[in-house]
Amino acid sequence: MCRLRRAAQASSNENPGNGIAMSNSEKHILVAEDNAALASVVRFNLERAGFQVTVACNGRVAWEAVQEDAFDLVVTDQQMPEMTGCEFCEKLRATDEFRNLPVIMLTAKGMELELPRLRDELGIAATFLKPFSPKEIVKAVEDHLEAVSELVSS
Amino acid sequence: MLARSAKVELPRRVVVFYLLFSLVAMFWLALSAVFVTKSIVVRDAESELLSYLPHACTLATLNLEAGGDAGLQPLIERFARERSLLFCAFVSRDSSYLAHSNKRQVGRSHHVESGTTTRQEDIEVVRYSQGGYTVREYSSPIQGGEVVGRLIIAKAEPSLGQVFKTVAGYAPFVMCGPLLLLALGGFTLHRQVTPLAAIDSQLRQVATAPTIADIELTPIKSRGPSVLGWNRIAGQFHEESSQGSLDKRLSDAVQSLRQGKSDDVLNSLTEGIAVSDQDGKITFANQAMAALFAADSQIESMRGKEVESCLGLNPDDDVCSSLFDQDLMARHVVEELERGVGDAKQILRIARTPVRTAEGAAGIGHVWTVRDITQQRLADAMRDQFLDNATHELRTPLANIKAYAETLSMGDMLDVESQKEFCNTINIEATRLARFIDDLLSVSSMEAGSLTLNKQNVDLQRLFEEVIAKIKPQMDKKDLEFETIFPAKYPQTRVDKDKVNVALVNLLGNAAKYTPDGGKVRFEVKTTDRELRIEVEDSGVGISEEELPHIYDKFFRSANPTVQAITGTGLGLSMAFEVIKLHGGDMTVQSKLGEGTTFVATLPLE
Amino acid sequence: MFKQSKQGSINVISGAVPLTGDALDLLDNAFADCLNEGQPRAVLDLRNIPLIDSAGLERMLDLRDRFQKRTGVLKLAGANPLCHDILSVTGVGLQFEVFPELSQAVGSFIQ
Repeated sequence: MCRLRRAAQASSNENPGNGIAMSNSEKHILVAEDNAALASVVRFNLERAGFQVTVACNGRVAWEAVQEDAFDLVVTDQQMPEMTGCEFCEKLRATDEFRNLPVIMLTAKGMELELPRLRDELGIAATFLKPFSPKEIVKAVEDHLEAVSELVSS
Repeated sequence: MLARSAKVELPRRVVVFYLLFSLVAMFWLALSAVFVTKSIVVRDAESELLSYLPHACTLATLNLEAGGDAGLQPLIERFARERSLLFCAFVSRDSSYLAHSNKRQVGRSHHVESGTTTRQEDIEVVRYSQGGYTVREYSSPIQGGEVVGRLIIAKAEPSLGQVFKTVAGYAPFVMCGPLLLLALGGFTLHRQVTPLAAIDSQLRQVATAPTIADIELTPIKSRGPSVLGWNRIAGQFHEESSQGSLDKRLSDAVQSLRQGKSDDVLNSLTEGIAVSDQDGKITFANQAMAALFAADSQIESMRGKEVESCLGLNPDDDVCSSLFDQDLMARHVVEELERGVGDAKQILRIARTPVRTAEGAAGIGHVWTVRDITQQRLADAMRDQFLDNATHELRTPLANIKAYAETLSMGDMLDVESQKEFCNTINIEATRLARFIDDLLSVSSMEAGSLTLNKQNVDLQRLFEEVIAKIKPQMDKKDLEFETIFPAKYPQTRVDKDKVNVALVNLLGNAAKYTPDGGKVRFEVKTTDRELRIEVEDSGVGISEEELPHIYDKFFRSANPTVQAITGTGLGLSMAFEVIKLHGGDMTVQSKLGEGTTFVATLPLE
Repeated sequence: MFKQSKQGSINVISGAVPLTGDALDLLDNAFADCLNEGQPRAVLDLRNIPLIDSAGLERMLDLRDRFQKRTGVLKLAGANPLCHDILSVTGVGLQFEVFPELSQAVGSFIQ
């Protein structure tokens, strides 16, 4: 049931003439979310912003995906079967290759208290509490990618 | 001295003295009576003789004048005989006896005895002693015819002994009366004195009693004003002392009652309570404490033991170390102790409070209270888990609805197809939310025990059709082979339609949920005379043996990752089970991991 | 005959036979385990018990005494109308905490 789905390349063409969108099309985002409906709406919004999106249905599938493909940013749910978002993140940070991969975390639980720990230990770029606004996710994704590219260019 | 005189009782002493003095007085009286009698007798005899003498003289004169001295001798003898005289004689002028009552004396000369001589007219009285007798001799001159002489009569005075002898004859009569009266007097005296003696003896005891408390005054069974007075005193004293002892007994009783009662009170508590001294040895433990910690559940076996060993703690372990931390001895400490494993796991809350004196100083020991909080902790854990599940289950559809709605709201560049799809998703999520809230309400009513049945006559066929209609889409979605077997005819039965519906939808929903795509689900209903038997069999993931006993527990969810991947609250089965149980039925389960599960529910027919 | 189960740390003894005669020994057996615990806490689930006779009532009082001796508590739950009447008429019901539902009885242990 869970399959890696490659975003349609054509979706990036929905925002013609948008400079950012053009650059977005080069960016590849991994969305790890067990709830299919939520995953598809996040993908829809990210794709509309011009990103390439891959969806994984849990942490384990997401871990497999990062090894197969190169991603610029990961959006992951915290509570997922088989491997939670935190576990997935710990695994990423334990690997040199993915140590600096930006991660945005979605969480449904009352995890507010754990946010500082997530930020410091796991290097989570941003956290969103469900229910969240897809617009904000897209904005956060864009901001972080921009910050990373600025860091690289400087 | 007191002891010696106390040997003879007072009444006896009094009577003895009384008799002694009385007898002496009587003796005195008797003696006096003898003397008096004697003097009276003597006087009487004298006056009699004095009055007789002239008569005798006349007779003798007449006789002399008539017959000379011839008839004198018989006359004299007659005189002596008549008056029982010592002797009687007629003395002539030449002082010889002319006649004498003793014939041998006739002719002899009269010898005048020496003695006291008194004269009464011409009668001369001589008193002299002769042969132990006192003799009175009366002589009177006689002149008859030619013979002139003196008539002498002598009478012996009775001696004291004679008088005594005479009087002694009357003694029995005379003495008996006074002696009898004396005895009566003694008896009366004894009776009068006895109560006084009782008072006396009690007073002696009072004098010798070491303390006031040892004094015992008893009322006396007798009459009389003094006894009455004494009895009043004794009564008053007794009342006072019994008041005192009553006070003491009362306070003793209250004390022991308090002691016993507080023991009873403490033993009735379900909370374990123990008191330890400075050395950490238990001085008191209640029944609950013994039940929790003593191997034989006896309070006695806890006394005098170290608290630590009683609680089964090792001071070197970190477990509950603050209870035995020397620095914390003066303050209240609470720890939770876990013991036992599996089902027998217990969580005990142990609190230790220093015993303080009235002045507030600590250090004389500690009070320990132990409470079994296992059920609370389990309930807390259940509630936490439920809250976790509930928040997740609530937030997920909510998050979807919000995300889709927001996406739609900026949907100027959305095609109609997508808009429709998004609206549909929102609808589905809203339905899911609504259903979850229904579940929540059922669970909460189950929790409160207010899940009651609304039984009515039910068309079972229609009930099952409704259930199948609800579950069919889920089956179809996963390409499951859904087999239904129904009996030709249903018996009349009364059940709560809605609840049985929920239970069956839950059972079949679980079967659909946990059976992989392309699997098989069988739903079979059988009827017998007495029961309705419903079987739900699937070829799903199955339940491990360890988890089978817990599947009806509320909020229980299998640790199996395949099951974890599927959302659920862990309430469906427990709800179904509860409904069947409420109908008086039962539900059994058979399962093999990876092969499938069969639930069999039986409902009794009424 | 009698089933022993646990709800949390509370023992639940459920039966489906009248509390009479021979069944009483089985009842004792069912309680044997939980009476060995430190402070036994149990609920006697009467939902499927159709009838209680005098011997049954006596045995219930015995059990209560044994629980009390260990400072434990035994509660009753789910008596049917007949059993409820039996309990209230004999006054035995006054010796126990009686709950209409098992869940309420179990819940009542949380103080």
